[in-house]
Amino acid sequence: MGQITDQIRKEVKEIVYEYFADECEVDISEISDQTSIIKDLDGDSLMFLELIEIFKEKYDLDIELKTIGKYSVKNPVATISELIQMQLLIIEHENNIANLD
Amino acid sequence: MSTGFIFPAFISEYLGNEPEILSAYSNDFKQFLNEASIYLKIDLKSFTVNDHAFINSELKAQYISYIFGCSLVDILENGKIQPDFISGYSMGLYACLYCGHSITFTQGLDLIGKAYDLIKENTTHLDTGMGSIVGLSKEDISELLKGNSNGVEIVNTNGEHSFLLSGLKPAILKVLEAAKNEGALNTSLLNVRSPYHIRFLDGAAQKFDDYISDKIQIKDSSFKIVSALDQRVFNSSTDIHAELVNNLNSKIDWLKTMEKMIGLNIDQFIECGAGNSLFRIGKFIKGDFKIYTMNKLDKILDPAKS
Repeated sequence: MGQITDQIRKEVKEIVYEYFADECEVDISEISDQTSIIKDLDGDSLMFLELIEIFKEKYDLDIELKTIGKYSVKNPVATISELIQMQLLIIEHENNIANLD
Repeated sequence: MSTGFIFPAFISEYLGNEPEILSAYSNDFKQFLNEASIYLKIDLKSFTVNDHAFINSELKAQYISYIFGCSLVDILENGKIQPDFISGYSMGLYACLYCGHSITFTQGLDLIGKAYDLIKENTTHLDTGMGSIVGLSKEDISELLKGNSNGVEIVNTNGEHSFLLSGLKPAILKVLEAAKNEGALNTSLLNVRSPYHIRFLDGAAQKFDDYISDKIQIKDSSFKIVSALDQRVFNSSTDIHAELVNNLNSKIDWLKTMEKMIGLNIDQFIECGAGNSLFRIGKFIKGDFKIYTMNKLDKILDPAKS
């Protein structure tokens, strides 16, 4: 399990913003924490999967995709800020995210 | 630098500007739409990327996808961009064969129409379809299939965590629901009625074999083809005939196909069709390569612009 520092929070936010700006071909200034991933950016599960892979590699995470899948059914993500929050929980808890409420 | 041309199956989502991109380089797209409309006696001329009638009609979607592929191939050929290898993803095989000069434009239309009719005839009394699962492993899905039903199979591996199912629709729906409960990041029923790449189509494949023997004069391919079914490399008309037939009722493995081409030192792929589905699938395949979609056509034709 990783400790979430301010540096990690900043990195995760930057990566998520840059990823969607690049992938969805929008100016990064048009993305905010309240941006809806599906409605505003036309995001989908492959983008979510790619972001998870980016963070797994960057932070050397031990987590199964299906654990994230089960967690996200209970805790669906709609906005950029919710996605960032979920990525931080994944980094912090890895496979133990399954034990969170 | 080695180049692979890869051909997507029919499109469910367009980038939006494909016709304009193609029209900037040639009139082929419009001409092909006109030619196909006259030849097939159906309206393809009124196609727009926003018209759902062309996405929701499985047959029209295949014709349009084929026309996009052929149009782009002609532009690349005129621009002296040649592939070292070519490969078709599922029904993208038809445009792939046009690219290799194995079939003519209208022969491709004939093949698409005939395959569609035979599949329909073969599954008339069955409620069939296809589904997609993202986020589970092949082993996870195989376990779900054991527990859930007959009549549904994994028919394509797009990546380590991305698969397509084909078979009876009620059975697919059960597996998709079980997959979601197992932790799949996404499951969806595809917008097709035909159960491509599955044994239900054995009868259709047999008749397709006879049809090709009787009606279609296939030529050897100008370029080496990598099979999406078993990843063998071939270019003879005999092998192409067999590939066309087997493509109806055999599983494909796009992950292995891409790995094969990467192993053949291809470091640049051009997705020859509308949308960017193969580009997106490719992001999850390991290797040192790039996939260019149609909206990078200016850079493909003039690398100095990259």
